[in-house]
Parts: sequence; C-alpha cells; structure tokens
Amino acid sequence: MMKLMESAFVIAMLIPFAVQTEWTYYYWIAVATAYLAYIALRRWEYE
Amino acid sequence: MNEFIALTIIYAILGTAIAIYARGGVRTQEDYFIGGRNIGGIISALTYAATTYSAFMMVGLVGLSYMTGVGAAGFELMYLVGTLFLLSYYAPKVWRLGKEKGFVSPAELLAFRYGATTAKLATILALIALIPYTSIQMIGIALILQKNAGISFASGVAIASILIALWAFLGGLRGVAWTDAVQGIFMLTVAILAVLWTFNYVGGFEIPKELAVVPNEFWTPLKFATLTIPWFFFALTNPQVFQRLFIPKDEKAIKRMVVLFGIFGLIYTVLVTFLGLDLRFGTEVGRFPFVADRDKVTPTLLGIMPAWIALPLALSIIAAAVTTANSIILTLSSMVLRDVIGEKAKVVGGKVIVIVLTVLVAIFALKRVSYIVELAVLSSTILLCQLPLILGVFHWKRGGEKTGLATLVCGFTTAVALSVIKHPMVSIATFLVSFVVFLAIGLIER
Repeated sequence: MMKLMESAFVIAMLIPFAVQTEWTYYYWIAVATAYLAYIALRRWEYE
Repeated sequence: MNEFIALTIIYAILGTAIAIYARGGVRTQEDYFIGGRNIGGIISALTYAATTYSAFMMVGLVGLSYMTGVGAAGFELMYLVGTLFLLSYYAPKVWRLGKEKGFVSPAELLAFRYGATTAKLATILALIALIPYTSIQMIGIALILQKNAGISFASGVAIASILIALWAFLGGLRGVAWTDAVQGIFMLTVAILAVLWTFNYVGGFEIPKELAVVPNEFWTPLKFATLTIPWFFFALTNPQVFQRLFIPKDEKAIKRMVVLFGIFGLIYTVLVTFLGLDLRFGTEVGRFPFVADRDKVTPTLLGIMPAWIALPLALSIIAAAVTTANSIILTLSSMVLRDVIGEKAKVVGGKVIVIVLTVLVAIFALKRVSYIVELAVLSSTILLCQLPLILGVFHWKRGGEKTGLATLVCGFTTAVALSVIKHPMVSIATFLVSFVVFLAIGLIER
C-alpha cells in the first residue's frame, strides 16, 4: 500500500504531459510539496 | 582592493577556520572519509544538499528555465521526488549494511556482493564520469573569478583548485560537511534575495504562455525522460551522495537528513526556476535583454544587478561549485585508496589522492569543455550502469563478479557509444542495457 502510494506521487509528476494546463508549474510544486510532507509524516522502518 | 577579491578572501578564511574547527580527531579512514559515522541529521542534510546542488542550479537551470519554460522545473522537481522516493526506502538499508560491514567507500557495497574487481571497475568509471563533471564546477569558479576579480582564467583555475582541495585535505568529511552546511545556508539566503530583487526589478511574475505548458518544442516526453532518468536515480548511482548515506549517527538522523534535504531542495529548486521564468517575463516586458545562449542568462543578470546583490550571488555560485567539487574529490579519493590501491588503514594516502585528483580536474578544466547541462547529464548517464548492481544487493540473490563486470562494461559502452553519435535515447538505452545484461548474466552465473 505504501509503495503504491509513493508510486502514485511519481506518476502524478508526469500528468502535465498528458493534460496540458497553464498551471503546470504550480501543480508540480504542489505535488513535490505533498510528497515531501508524506515522507516526513509517514512511519519509517525504524519507528 | 577589488570588492569581489576581498569577499573571496573572507570566504576562504572563514571556510578554512570552519574546516579546522570541525575536523576533530582524525585517526582512521572512517573518521577522514565518513566523519566516524557520527554526523547529526541537520549537518548531514545540509552537506547532502550542498553536494547535490552544484553551480548547475544557479547557472544552468536558471538559463534552462528562461529558455525552455516550466519543463525545466518539472525536470528538477522530478529529480527531487525521485531522490526522496529512493532515500526514504534505501537510505536506512544502506546505512545499516554500511555500519554492519564497515563500508567506508561507496564501491565497497559492490565489492561485498560482486567482488573486488567490480569495485575497482566502478571506481574507474566514477573517475571517468566525475572528473569532467567536477572540472565544469572548476571552470565555473574560474570564469566568475576572471570576470569579477579581473584575473586570468589559468589563475582562476589555480585559486579554484585551492578552494576545492583545502577543506577536504584539512578536515576530511567533517571539514567538508561543516563548510557545506554554512555554504548551503548562504546559497539559499542569497537565492531568496536574488529572487526578491529580480521580482521587484522586473515588476511582477507571469509565465509566458508558450513556456507555461509541457510538452513544448524542447520538452518532448522523450527529452524529459532522457534527461530525467539519470537524475531520478542520482541518489543511488552518484558515489558522492551515496557515501553520505554512511555518515548519519543513527536512524533518526537519517530521517532528519532526508526530510531536511527535501525541504532545502524544494525551496532552492522553486527559487532558481522562478528566477529563470521571471527573467523571461522581464524579457517579454522589456526589462531584461533577450539572451540567446542559455548559459549566459545568469551572467547577464549579474551584470545588471547592483554590487550588494551581484557579488554575494556570484560568490554563492562559487560556493555551490566548491561544495559539490570537494565532496566528489573526497569520495573519489576514498574509492581510489580503498578499492583500487587497497590501503584501508593509513589516512595520509587519502590526503595525497585529494591533491592528485584536484590537479587532474584542474588539467581537464584548463582544456575548457563546453555545454554544462549535457556534460552533467552524461556523467550521471555513465554512472547509471551501476544501478542494477546496487538494487541487486537488496533485492536479488543471484549474480556475482561476472555479473558485476559485464553490467558495468556493457552499460558504460552503451552510454559512451550513444553519446558520441548523439543518440537521443542514450540514458534510456544505458538503463535498459544495464538491466538486461545484469539479469541475463545473473541468471547464468552460479
């Protein structure tokens, strides 16, 4: 489940190549920020 | 005295003082090359970030954003997401295995599984890939010194060599990590000031329509994939950042390193791409001249800015280059000493190799190779052939020395051959060939 979630973020980065929008720049920043927050908040192996 | 020379002298003295203060007692190679595996999360994060983000960001990526639009931001943010993706999963595993087996050089992970000859070959490939890459950093420093301090290019290379070698020589990883940390904060602060100044100078921010979407003329899906693949796996394939996975003091420090690096990377990437896009907006509204050569965008900006921001910005580019270059030199030194020469006790050999490698990089820099982005990407493409071997350590029990050697030879040959003929799919082909050879020989080898 966790790996699926993580892969979804990576795939989300590619969406602007399929759906053209002038908001691409902000979309990419939003996805990267959300992924960073997810990494920070999710439980790591040692926790 | 020229203001920039004065600023550079202060920078050199401060950096040297920090390196001497931070070095502590260096008794073993573990102390010298990986800080005795005892570096806190914040310093680990800052050295990871400063090592990763080179002069390419403030020169190459600003120009790439200016010329090609938001695709440049996507490319760099994809790198960031890929790095976080890999680090959040592999960093604790690599750290644990490194501690358990006593790895100091990154190639020792390959030696452990694929034999010493594979580690030797990986070291040679790392030298081939990273000496030109490091020389680009040195060229950047020399050009900035030439322009701002009025000295010759050769003198610039000589000063750059001293700046690159000195802190690694004096303080080893601790010297490099602490100077990286201070310089990383400086790079980020100056980038914020540069963006604020540019925003105010240009009079706003708007992304020109033709540059606001992908795909466009430059950022086709194939181009994006070709440029992105080597960077996506950078965290595992580039030895100078891979070795940093050995340095945190505990698992809590690893998580802190990864998350803080992510915060740094996100902010820095947004600032740098914003700068490039805003300058393009400035061109559209007649506030910034059109620059046809993308590597000249930042130098043109430096020529327009007042000294109070131009000089720190130029120095921050030097800092970005130094932090990347000295980390690479120190890591390559550990690989040459431990994996090629086989000396695993004496520290002095590492210091000698730091100087020898810096001289080699300087010779390469004096030959003046062209185009920053292409060469930076080619170095990561060459290193991409190690990827299946590194993943194999954690996920596949098959494959030994023959698998290791065949994967590196075939992957490297593919990368070089296709880049010579300028094939557009060089990184994708290198990626595929390396994996196919790894799996095929791994299945055959007992």
